Amino acid sequence: MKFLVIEDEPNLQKLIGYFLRKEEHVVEEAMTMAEAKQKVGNFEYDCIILDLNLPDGNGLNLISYIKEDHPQTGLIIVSARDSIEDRILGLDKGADDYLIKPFNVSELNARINAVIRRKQNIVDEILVFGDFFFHISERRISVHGVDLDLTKKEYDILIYMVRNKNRVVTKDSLAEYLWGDYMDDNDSFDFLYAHLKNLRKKLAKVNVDNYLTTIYGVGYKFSIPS
Amino acid sequence: MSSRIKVAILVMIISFVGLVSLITKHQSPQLLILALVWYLLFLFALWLESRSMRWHLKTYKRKVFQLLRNINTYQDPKLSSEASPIEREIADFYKAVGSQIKNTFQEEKQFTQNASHELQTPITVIKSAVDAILQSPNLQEVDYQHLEIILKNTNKLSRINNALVLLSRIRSYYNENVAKVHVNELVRKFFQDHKEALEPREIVVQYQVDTDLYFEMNENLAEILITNLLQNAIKHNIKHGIITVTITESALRIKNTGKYMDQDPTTLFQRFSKASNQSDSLGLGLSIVKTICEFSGLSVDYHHKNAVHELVVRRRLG
Repeated sequence: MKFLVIEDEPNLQKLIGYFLRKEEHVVEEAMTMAEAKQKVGNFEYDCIILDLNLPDGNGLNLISYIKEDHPQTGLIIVSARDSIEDRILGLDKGADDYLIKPFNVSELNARINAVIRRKQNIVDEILVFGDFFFHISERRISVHGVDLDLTKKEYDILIYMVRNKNRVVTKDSLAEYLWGDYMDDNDSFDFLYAHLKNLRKKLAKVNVDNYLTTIYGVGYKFSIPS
Repeated sequence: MSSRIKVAILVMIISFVGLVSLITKHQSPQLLILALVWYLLFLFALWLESRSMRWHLKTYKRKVFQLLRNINTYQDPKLSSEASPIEREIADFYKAVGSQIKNTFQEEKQFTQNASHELQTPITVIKSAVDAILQSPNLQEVDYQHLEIILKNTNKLSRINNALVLLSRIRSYYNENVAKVHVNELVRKFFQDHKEALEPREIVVQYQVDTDLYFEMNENLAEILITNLLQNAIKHNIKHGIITVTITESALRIKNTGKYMDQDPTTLFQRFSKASNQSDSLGLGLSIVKTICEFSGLSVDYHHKNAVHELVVRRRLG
């Protein structure tokens, strides 16, 4: 996939680029509105990551410009402007998703994967990963043809993990995904451990608990066991 | 009216002085009585003047209290051309104090907004960099330990930041989207969404619901208020603890079992106030609760007895 990252903060630009290249995407960068306009005019991108607060203007004004010529391009806004009005305005103008800083890379990754799959117009989306079949539109996951009997939170955990497959996902990012940012650290981790314990038991019943590995105190990884 | 009083006083003083000089000249008792009547009239005029002064003072006192509760009520005082010097002076004083409060308030709000806004990108950068390191296959256990410390503290920064943004936004949003919020429904929804939060310590929730309770306030803030109150009751609870939710016509009471606390209850609502043994908590939850109540016509009180803690949210009268 080909990405354009429009972000004026050089460190963040570099880190998002690094992460996308690791996921085997092609990445181009723009630091200003003008630079972005020029690139969008000349090239076709699968997905654009857009920061709203740019030195030469409000990135919101770029959205219609991008969507006019490239309606198929996925567009994710990443912004510190956390006002509800901007979010609604951005989505109204055709952005596919909106992420507020400070965000987790895993969250960005999950959103990108969801947007890309949505753009590919997959109806009755089935995502296959090793022995797992994710029937996304039906909110159902099966292994070896048998449906897993999951609670809502357990389902959410697995979806988040598969959208971040083969990456270390921090427990903070998982907790924030599940409960938003109102939850205090110590609580959300207690709940998270409880959910993962139950989830592991259910996965063990169909011999796939080895997909989910714990990475010391930091987080988890969902990958096909070697 | 007051300028007329002034003229009247002036006339009275002049005639009083005239009368006194007449009395000393003629030694007449009738004139003495007349002088006394004049003197009483003079006192009456003074009393009228002081009453109008008190009335102005009261009006502005009320305005100042209103201001302290809600800075948006501030308006430059409008004076009629007939206003007395005293009224003018009080109005000037109000203007000086009021505009100063308003400026300080706006500067503080601006500062919080700027500070939190400017922090968001650096926090994202640190989180993203740690995430990038975490993906490396060559890390030792000790590296993970250090990364966990960075993550934990960055996360804390991020949550403090979010809470501060929220605190500053309550003031700007509280009077938008005001609706009749059904408190019973919000409580029910919270426990439905957070069932699993009760499980690790097997906390039991009891309801004592007499009636439907409504708060007239911003809907989002209502949800944040209830979430913070109930999360607080879960967080500070004990194993096999109990949460009792009581809903009456005018109040929501949330009682929870917990630990003995020797902290001064009045400090509980201050920012960053927290029980020492819960160092992971930010100590911002209850200050958010208090601020939301203050701006939404509600009051919140805390009581504790024998390690049972109770928070009561009431509709404020008037």
